[in-house]
Amino acid sequence: MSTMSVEVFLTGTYQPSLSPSSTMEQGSLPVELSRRTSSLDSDKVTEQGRTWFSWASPAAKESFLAFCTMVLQYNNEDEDDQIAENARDAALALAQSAYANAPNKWSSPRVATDGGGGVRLTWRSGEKELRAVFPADARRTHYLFKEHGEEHSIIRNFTSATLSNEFEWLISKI
Amino acid sequence: MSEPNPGTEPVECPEIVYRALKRGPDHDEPLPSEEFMRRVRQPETEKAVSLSRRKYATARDCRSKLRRKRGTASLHVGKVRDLPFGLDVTPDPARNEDGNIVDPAHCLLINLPDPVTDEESAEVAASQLIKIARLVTPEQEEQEHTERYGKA
Repeated sequence: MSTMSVEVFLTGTYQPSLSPSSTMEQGSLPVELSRRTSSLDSDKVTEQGRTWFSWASPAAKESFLAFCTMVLQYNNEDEDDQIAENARDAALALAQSAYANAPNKWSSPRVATDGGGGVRLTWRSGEKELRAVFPADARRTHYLFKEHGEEHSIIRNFTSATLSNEFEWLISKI
Repeated sequence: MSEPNPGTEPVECPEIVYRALKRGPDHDEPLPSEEFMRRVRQPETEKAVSLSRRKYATARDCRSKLRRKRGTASLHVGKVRDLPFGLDVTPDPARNEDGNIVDPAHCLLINLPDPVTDEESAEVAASQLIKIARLVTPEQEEQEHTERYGKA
C-alpha cells in the first residue's frame, strides 16, 4: 500500500494490501498524491438542489485523486479518529473499480469514520444520498445505504458495478 | 431559581440541545449522518450520543469541550421525541471524582439503533435526525456566546 502510485490506481491494477501494519506515513505517499489537497473548487459546489460536486467535469480524475489522498492522509488529522487499514483498503479498491467503470460519473464522496476504524463514504445529489460503509471488523459486511426523500434501501456486500450503477441513479432525475 | 443539582432535572420538550460536529460549518453541506449514530467501539458500540443543553451551555461551549470539533448542530428536544425508534434526550451531567457536577449541560441522545446489529435502522434514524437538526452558523454561535457571556 505504501508504494501504491497514482498510475496504479488509474490502470486498475491496484490490489489492496491486507498486511497488519496499521498506519500510513505521509512521507511514504507517492509524490503526486502527497502534494495534493482536497481543495478542488469542483468539490465545493453546495448550493441547494445541486450536487456537491461537478459530475460531468473533466476534473473527474483530479477529483478521484483528491479522494484517494483524503483517505490515505485521513489518519494524520486526528489520532482519536482513525481508519483501519483493512477498511481503508476495501474502500479504496471498490471506489477505484467504480471509478474505472464509469469515470465520467465519479465525484468525490465525503469521507468519515464510524468511530471504530470503519470508513463511511457519502455522496449526495439534491435529495438523494448514498452511503457506502466499510466496517473495520472483518466479520461484518460492507453495505450501501441509499436514500431519496422518505424512501430508502440497503444493499449488503455490494460490488463496484453496483456502486457505478448507483452513481447513475444519483445523477438521474428520477 | 437555580437547581439544587443543576443538570439532573429532566430535559423538557421545549429545550434546545447541541451536537458538536467534527466537520465545520464552512461548507454548506448537509449535516453528516455519522454525527447522529452511535460510535462503533470495541468491545461494544457506545450506548448513546453526547449532547449539550443550551440551558447550560452555548454552541461554542459545546464545541469547545471536545478537541477538533469544528461545528455544532442544534436539535429541538420535542421534535426528537416525535421521531420513530423512541428517540429521547436524558440528562447526564458530568461529575468529577468527588461526585460533584462539573458539566450540567451534558446529556444523552438515547435509543438510537445499534449500527452493528441493525445498520439499516441506524442509518434511517440518523437521516431522521439530520432532517430536524440545524447547523449553527459561526455568526449565530458568536451572537449567542456574546449574549450569554458578553464581549470577551
